Amino acid sequence: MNRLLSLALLALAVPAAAEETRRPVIVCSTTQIADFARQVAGDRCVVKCILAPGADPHTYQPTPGDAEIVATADLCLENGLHLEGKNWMATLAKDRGKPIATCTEGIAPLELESDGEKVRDPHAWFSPVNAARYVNNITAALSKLDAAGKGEYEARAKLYLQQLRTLDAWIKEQFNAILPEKRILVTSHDAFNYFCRDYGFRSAAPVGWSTGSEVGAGMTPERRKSVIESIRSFGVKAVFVETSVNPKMVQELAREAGVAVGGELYSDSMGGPGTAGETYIGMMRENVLTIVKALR
Amino acid sequence: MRILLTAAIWVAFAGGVALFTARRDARGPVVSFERGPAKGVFAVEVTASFAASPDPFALDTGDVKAAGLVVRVNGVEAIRSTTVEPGVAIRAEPVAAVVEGKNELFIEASPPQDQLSRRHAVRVRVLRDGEPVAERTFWSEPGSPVAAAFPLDVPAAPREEDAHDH
Repeated sequence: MNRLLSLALLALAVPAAAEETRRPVIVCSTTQIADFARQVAGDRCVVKCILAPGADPHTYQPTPGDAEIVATADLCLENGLHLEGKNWMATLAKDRGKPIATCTEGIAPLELESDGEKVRDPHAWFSPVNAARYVNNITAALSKLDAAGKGEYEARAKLYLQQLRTLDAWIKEQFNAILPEKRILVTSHDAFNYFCRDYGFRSAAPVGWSTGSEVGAGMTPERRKSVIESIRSFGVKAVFVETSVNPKMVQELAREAGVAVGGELYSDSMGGPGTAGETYIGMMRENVLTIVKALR
Repeated sequence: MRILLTAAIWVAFAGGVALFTARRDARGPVVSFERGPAKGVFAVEVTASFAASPDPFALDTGDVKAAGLVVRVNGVEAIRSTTVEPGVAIRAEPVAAVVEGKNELFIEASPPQDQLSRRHAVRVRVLRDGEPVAERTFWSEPGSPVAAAFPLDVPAAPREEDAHDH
């Protein structure tokens, strides 16, 4: 009898509590987008991410578990510009009938020319100015989803945008220690074009804009040869491996060209929990420090 | 019997908490701190030493547009301008948000990105019936826009009966 009474009380209490704590669920494709969304949403939303730290969005194959996560979403967020290979995030959202917002909307994409074809570079978050656009797009999408929280989202976004501005100024100051002609960034794949544009670097990578099999993606013997020639002719001091790409190729390239591996850069994915690169600002800060240390 | 006793204690406890909460929330009327608008016509005039332009790190979500210069008085927007010419004053008049007593003005102005490494200045004047009542100049730190808040005390206008001779 006692047990029955307790159960009845519990049954009355649980739905009320659940109703009170029901928060919008935001499902993001990449770790960077999830971080931006958390900065804007605070504790008002539950933010989930499909990609794990270190995973490669170009080659990622969604699992049934991902479809279940998307099924819980009130809103999905993707990078767009085909970062998510074969548009896997848009497909997951469409299959489950969930609304999706594209974070790169409004960004003027860099065009890469490869094999006579033009491809739009999806790695737009590497420019803090573009990251501000991501944050604005996420703020607009969250405000539309949860109009009652608009003021909160905008207030958090404003503070985070100030942090992005400070990050941008800090990066410029740090790179001032590297002579302009020494600013050559050789990485595993062609992900740092926006970064290089903003901070006066030239980029070179043996693998195209994607590690997948899209047009202009992957490694060709011509690209490899051209990268080695660039390293030798410009006297590049170091090349860099990426956290989300197998380091073997760059290590071989460094051996062949006779240069050091300057360290590991966060690229298409951020670091895991407890690492310095677990947030966007942390990831950018660590990348900059690694580059300055190796190229100065 | 024991179950009934437990239920009765629970009901008494829950009832007590509910009663306390209801009485606490229903305590006497809250004192109103609302103040009336200040007497006179107020104007805010802003002059920048640089050509302000929309800030790429500003909040811009479609309905909130990025601007080169924003002035708020007590949280109410008085000026929002996308472009500002150096040395040319921008004036908002009348500014109805000024109240008697303490007020606060907030100003945000963003220099062009290619000139961010320098320090920039913005001069703000507040006028009451055409007469300056406050004036301040704010400087930016290199790499940052001008963002500052300053207090403005507006004394209450004398009541009409106080002004009469007896």
